[in-house]
This record gives sequence, structure tokens and C-alpha cells, in this order.
Amino acid sequence: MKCDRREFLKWSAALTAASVVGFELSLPENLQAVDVDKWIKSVCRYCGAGCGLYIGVKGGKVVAVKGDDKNWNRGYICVKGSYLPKILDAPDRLKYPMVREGGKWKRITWEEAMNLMVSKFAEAIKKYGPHSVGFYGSGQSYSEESYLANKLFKGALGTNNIDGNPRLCMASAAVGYVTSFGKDEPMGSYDDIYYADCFFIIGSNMSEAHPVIFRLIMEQKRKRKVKIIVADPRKTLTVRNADLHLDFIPGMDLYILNAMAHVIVKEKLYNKDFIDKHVVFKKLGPDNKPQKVNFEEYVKFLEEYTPELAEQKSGCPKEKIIQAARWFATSKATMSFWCMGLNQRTKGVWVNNLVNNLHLLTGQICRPGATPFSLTGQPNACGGIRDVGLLSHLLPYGRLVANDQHRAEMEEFWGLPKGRIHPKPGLTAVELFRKFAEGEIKCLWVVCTNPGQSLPNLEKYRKGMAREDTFLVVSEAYHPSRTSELADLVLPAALWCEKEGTYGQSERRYQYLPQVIKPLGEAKSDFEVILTFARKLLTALGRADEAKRLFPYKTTEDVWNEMRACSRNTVYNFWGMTRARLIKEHGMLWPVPTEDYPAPGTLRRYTAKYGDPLVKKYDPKAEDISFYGNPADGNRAVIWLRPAVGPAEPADKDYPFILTTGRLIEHWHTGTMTMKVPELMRAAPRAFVEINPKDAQKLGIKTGDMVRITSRRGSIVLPAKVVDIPRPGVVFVPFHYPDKLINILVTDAFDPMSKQPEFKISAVRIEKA
Amino acid sequence: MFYIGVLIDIEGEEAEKALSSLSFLKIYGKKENQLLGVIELKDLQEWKAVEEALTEIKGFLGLSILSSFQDNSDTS
Repeated sequence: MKCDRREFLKWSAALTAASVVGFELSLPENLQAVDVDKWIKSVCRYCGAGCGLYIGVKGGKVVAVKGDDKNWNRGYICVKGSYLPKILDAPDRLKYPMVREGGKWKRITWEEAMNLMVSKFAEAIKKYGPHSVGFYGSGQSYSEESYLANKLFKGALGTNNIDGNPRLCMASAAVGYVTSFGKDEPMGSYDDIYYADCFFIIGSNMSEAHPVIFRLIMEQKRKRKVKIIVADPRKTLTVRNADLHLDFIPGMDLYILNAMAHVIVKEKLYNKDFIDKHVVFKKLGPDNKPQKVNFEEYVKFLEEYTPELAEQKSGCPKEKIIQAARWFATSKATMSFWCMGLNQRTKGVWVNNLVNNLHLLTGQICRPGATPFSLTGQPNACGGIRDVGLLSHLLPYGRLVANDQHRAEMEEFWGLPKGRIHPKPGLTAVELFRKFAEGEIKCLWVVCTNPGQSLPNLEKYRKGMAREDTFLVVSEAYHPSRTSELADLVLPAALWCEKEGTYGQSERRYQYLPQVIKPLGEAKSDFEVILTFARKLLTALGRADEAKRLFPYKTTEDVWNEMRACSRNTVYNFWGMTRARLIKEHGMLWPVPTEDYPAPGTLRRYTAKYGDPLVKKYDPKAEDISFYGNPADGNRAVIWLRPAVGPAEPADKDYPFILTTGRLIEHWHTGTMTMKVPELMRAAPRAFVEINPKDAQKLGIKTGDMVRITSRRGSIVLPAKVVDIPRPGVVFVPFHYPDKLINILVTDAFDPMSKQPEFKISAVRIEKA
Repeated sequence: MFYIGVLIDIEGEEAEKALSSLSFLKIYGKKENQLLGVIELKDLQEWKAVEEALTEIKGFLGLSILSSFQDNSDTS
């Protein structure tokens, strides 16, 4: 058999695929092996799903990827993941540090860059105090990097002005979990997909944003005829696979969720036994403080939320709401998924609570297949930001800045003088950039994220970032990005498999990513850069002893071991996840309290019966279920009475359409990586605006026409795509494109509890340009 | 060029026959109702056409990507 290069690569792909799913293939005689020197176990760089994969290396270059069949994704990856090799050697990779001088970029050495940065930060701290500097991190950084940055700013410098981009994507889910269950993070895992009979997907286009998870759901639909309910104002690919579509006016889903609870109560589909044992009811009192109420008051509260009212307010037919409530309550096990559609809202926490309420009301929780589950946009937003505590109100592993005991614990653990950690939460993402724009923050370090494109009401904050009298440092793999173009100093960052560290994904699964190849040019890992900066800055502030004592690390494993110890006496306890175990295993889910605790760890939390090892520790009397993260309420979860409230900026006479933004399967976030892949760019080359055919007809707009979209904050012109995807009155624009900054139009109103902005709903008008 | 290793879920002989005749897909193996194949692609514009072509085949149930190989000589 003739085997040219094309045939050889085809066979390589086939053999590799066969090995992933256990197919036996006979090799052609002249084909000895697949076309790589070695396969190295790792994790995908993109979304929060956290697909395990192997990286194929040949001659020091990444040439292939294949799914990890022993990880949760069972060897499946998505199209975006299959193109990962191409992000590494894109022509605009930043290869050395550069400083802006006289409006031009000048190459400098790492030593010059570090010295400049240290002198600017030290000068600001000496002159204006520690709150004059800030750090904006990322759910894409490795956990060890974020832990170091947190220790430097909150611990060593004594400022809480350190926040991360998960504030823009999942803060509402985190606060939703904390207010409902006492502690953050889902109690279930992807394993529940195999047991659920009903999937309730709301505010998530899983088939495009989390395709591998959705693939597992679709597999269950084929095999077991499970029910899929999708609530979404757009007829997405996810909706097209649903058994029931709840279509609604954006922002009015609180009516639908309360109406579902109304139906469940009215038809007596709730689980009284579960409620009696494990639930308390609360509402906000007149002083805005939580107040306990009883089941009867909850029932009374729900009375007004009839399916008829929900239909009137949301536009979703009442029959569909009733059907959804029945399926949710009566299935053997119901699993909910949600993402930005719920989180990026001014009532994001409340709407999260309402989904959690449905699970608590029906007892669809803490057993296989029954769980609420928030999806994550970034690969390490859970492990690296929420768990590590790299948000301005958090300390590591569930501790809070505002809690005296938690600050004292961290001061002791880190070896800091008492009172070093400031008692007041710092500035959150939007507030941080507002203060930077106002000049109150003098120096800001942005690492591994692109706020110059991703913040809402963007023009205001971009002007602030471009100020001459402040100092903006951006650590980035690519340059220019829409943020690095505004910086004073850019630092080249090693990317993905050019460095090592840990990711923690949506289901509490921690995974180790090894360094596979050398960083490009002079790029360095952010771990090395943060560590060097910490030591130099403290020395410049006359605290050389502290620099040595607080930052003694030689490797990322040294930091990982400190993190394990820091988690040990918390409900996150992952002491048993040694680096060696993470290298060997295919991800582990905390809690993993001991080094001999079996892999993969804890698939279901808050239930002793299904394996949570911490139930007995925190609630010795519990027979099975205990929401031990919430001892203040007797280890019970909370059903919240949350009134239905619409968005901050509903459509009106002057701005009669609702603009919603989102993702395409081809691109990821602000496109800094995926837009370096020609194949992906050719597939989705430019931004567009989706308009419903009924609206388009009224306005005389055809596909391809240029359309001006105007909000109270700005205006943009985009080609129209007339398609029956958004409901009438709604227009959709993908937010990936750096040349069309749709976030200029988006409101920066945010949830008062989570401080997460309402990216999903802004009032606009549209007209032919 | 990219070579994408895929697992295809099917129902019935006809689907297998129809899939075997597709120019962009080469079938390497079969186990029960699953085919193992490789899709050859120049870019994702083609990928969309591939997905559409597959979806139109009666008995095609779903596709999973398992591996991807990049031709180093590809300069696109």
C-alpha cells in the first residue's frame, strides 16, 4: 500500500481516534506509528468545561491533539480545541517586553521592564498608600499564579484592590451558591449527566459554548430519551435540540422561575420531607437584611406569580411554563445548567437563587442526576479565582475579607502582622477601572485578560486606560490586543503548554497542565513574573526580609503545596491532591481530604450517602444530606423569596429593541487566540447583527445591509443577518470582534450583590445605515 | 490541512453506505452502530458544509471529534 504524507496523516488521525475510544485498527505494513514524538497529558486552553486531552509534540513543536479517554470528556473534544496547535506560533505573539516611549513601542530587557514597573508601583505606594495600586487577573491564569498575586496584594501590600475577570462572567453564580447553600461551587458533577432524566438549561447556549458537555447530554437523549427544556430568547442550536423551548423577553425569566415554583406548589409536586429536613425560607426585610420566614409565607409570596402573569410579563406561553414545572418536579432526577444568560444581569444573584429554589423545593438535589450546575466560561475561573479568592471581597478557600476571623486565619497562615489585611473589600472590576479612569488608582497590572474589549460601557474605561498620568502594565501573549494597545508597559506571557500549573474547572475538578514546549522568544510564565515582581517590590519598599519570608518559592509545586495546606481546614479541603497525584490522575474533584482518598475525589457534595467525606466532619449528626457550608442556618439551604424584577434598561419608546451579546462556536472570548487561527477566521470572519425577519421586514432590512445600532452609550454599524433566531424585539451581536467593540453600547449597570454587569440586556434602536 | 479523527453514531445500513460515499470522509472502522473515520479539511468553512452534509443523511445520529492532526507544511 502506498502511503504518502496525506495518507500517513489520515492514518495518524484515525489510529489516534481509535485509541481514544478503544477501536481496533489494523496498521498498514509501512506505517509504524503516528506522526508525533510523544503524547503529553494536559487540558484544553479554552472554556470552563475542562476537557482532558493529550498534546502531540514533534521536534519541539505542538503538532496534534487528541481527547483524553480517561477524563470526564471520554476522549471527545470540540472543533475549537482541535485547532489548539495553531494558537502557539501566531505572528503577533509578543516575544519580548516593550515600553511605550513618545507614543511608540520600544523593546527593552526583562530587567529594565521589572525595574520600571517596580519603581512606578513603589512610588505610588509610598506617595499615595497601597490602595493606589491594583491588579486585574483572569480565569485563564493558572491557580498558582493567582494565589501568588493575591498573597502579594492582599497579604503583603495590604490592599484588596485586586479583582478578576470572572467578576464579569460568574460572580452572580458564586454569590448565588453562597446565599443558597452557604458556600460557593456546584455540589454535583458532570457524572450527573448519566443519571438525569430531565435537563433544564437556562441562559446558556451549550451546544456552541460548551459543546462537549452538550454532546454528553445529546448522547443521553439518544440512549434514554431524556427530556431537555431550554429557556432562551434565541432559537440557538441548543434550543433546536430541546423537547420544550421557553422563549421569553430578556430579563423576564424571574417571572417564569417563580411561576414554575407556583405551579409546583399549587399541584403539590414539592418534596415536603426534604423541605422539612433541609431547607429554611428567607426574604429581605425592610432594612434590606435577610429575615427568616416559613413555608406558608413562601406559598403566599408565590400566589401572584401565576403562569398567566408570567406569560403576560415574559411573552412565554403559560402552557409551556406549566409543562416545564411538571417535568422539572416529577422527573426521576433533574439537572439544571446555566451560564452568562443568568449571571450577566442586574438581578443575577436573584435569578440564580430562583433556579436553586426549584431544586430545593422539589428535592432534586444531592443525589445522582439531581443538581443545579452553573457552567463556567473560562478554564480556571473556579479553581483560580473563586477558590483562590482572587476577587476583591474574598480570601482563599471560602474566606471573606469582611470576616474578622477569616482575615486573622489568613494573616496567621501567611505569617503577616495582625491587621495587615484590610477589613474592607476592595474595588470590583468595573469600580477598579472607574477609579483608574478617575486617576485614583495610579498603577494597574492586567494579567492574561483583555478588559479594553471586554468591559461594558467600554469607551469610558478605554479613555481611562489611555491616561498619560497613570501606569498600565499588561501581561499578554499577543500584542497588540485592545488592552495592550493602551498600556505603558507590555510583558510577554508564556501561553498554555509553554508553562506549568493547575486549572480548576466547573465541577470542582482540579487538573495539572505540564510545560510541554519552551515559551516563544523571551516570554515567561506569569508565575515567574509575579514572583520576581513581588520580591523586587517589597525590597524597594524596604521590606527585603518580608520578600524572602513571604515569597520563598522555587517552583509552582512549592506554591501548590501551600495552597493545599491553606485549603485543609476549609470545606474545600484538597490536601490529598498532591502534585504527583494530579500528574497521574485525570483530574480530581475536591474535597479530597487525604493523600489516600480515592480518585477522582468527590462527585457529589453535601451528601454522605453519595460520598462527601466532609459531611460527618462538619455535621456529625447528619444521616445523609447536610448543607454544612451554612451552619448559621443549622446546615440547611435557603429558599429565597425573590420578587420578579426586570432589567436595568428595558426597551422603551426611544430604544425599542433589546441588544443581547454572546458567543459563536468558532471563537472564544475576545478572540486573541482563536482569531490567530486562519481556519476559524475564515469560518467566522466578521461581526454581524442578527435580526428577526418580522423586525427586518418592518424596517426594510435585508441580510447584508449595513445597520446602525445605537444605545444610550454609543453607536456601531454592522452587516445584518436576518434570521429566525432572536425573538422579535431582540437583536444579537457576538462580542468576540476587536474591530467592532459592541461593548461600547452595553450598559455597565451591575448587580448590587455580585457586582456583575448586565451585559445581556441593553436597550438599542436599529436603522439602516 | 487538518485531519480530524471522528466517531460517528448511525442507525441502519443505509447511513453507512451514504457516509462511505462522501468525498471528505474516509471510514476506517466500524463497531456496532459507530463508525470511526477521518475528515479532511482545509478550513472551517468546509466544516460547516461537512456538518450540513452529515445532518442530511438519514440515520446519521451524531458526530464526536476525537483527534486532530495538522499538516506542518500547511502555511495557511
